Amino acid sequence: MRMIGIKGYAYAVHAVVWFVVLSTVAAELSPAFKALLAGALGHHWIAKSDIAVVLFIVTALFFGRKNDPKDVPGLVRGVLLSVIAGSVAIFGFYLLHYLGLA
Amino acid sequence: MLFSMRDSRFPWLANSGRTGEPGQMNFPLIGLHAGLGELGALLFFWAFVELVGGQARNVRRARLAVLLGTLFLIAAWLAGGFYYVEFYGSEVKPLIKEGPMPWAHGVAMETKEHVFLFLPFLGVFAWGLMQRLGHVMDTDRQARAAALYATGAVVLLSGTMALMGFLVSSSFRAALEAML
Repeated sequence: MRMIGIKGYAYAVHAVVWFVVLSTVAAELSPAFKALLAGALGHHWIAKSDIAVVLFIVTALFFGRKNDPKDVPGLVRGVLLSVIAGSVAIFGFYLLHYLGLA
Repeated sequence: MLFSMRDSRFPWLANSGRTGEPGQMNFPLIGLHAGLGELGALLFFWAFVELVGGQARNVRRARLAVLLGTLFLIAAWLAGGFYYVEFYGSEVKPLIKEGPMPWAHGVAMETKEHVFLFLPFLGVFAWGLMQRLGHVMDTDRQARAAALYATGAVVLLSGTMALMGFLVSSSFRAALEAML
């Protein structure tokens, strides 16, 4: 069995990060969307977790055949930038939400 | 749901009395979640240190540490998720929101429960790097740097989660003290 390439893992992390960010913000701003997530799998957080797992696997497999890049540290820095930006986006959103500004 | 932790078959998992009743150990699951997460972080820190060493034997140990660390983070995810879904929302959140530190739920917990989702995937990513490039990391500085970035990021993000967990636990304790 061929191993999944690094790009596959990297793109899968990008996909999960931005799925979590967007679904989290959407669920807070739209009660209907939150109810849809909760209705599907019992709890909105479980739904996000399960979808994230499926998204990670599908994305990793889809892009897993790509050749590894020459600049692997650059690829990793991109992933870390995504994680940091996603974390700051979630924190910032909840801070604004708590203050009644979002 | 297959079973509930409030089910009498699992009394050791459940809070056996009123939330926060003095002298009672509340929610062993949260201790399990924190312990597994901290062990996971520690394993990634071990991997980071091995990668700094950079010899072939260091990389072999780092690969094992990353694999174990990822498994511990996944276990922490399951334990914490079970606690969050079964107990937190119904028994802890209302008290925190009524207590002196309501922001701990509104900002810290909300951020933690979502940013935590990045961690197991980042762990799998680091493991993928070790699987794919581990065999050249003793000679290829670029490959080793990539693994150092990834393992270091897991350590830092885990530390941030621990800090937020501390804030949430403190806010719960403050809410209980305010009730006395």
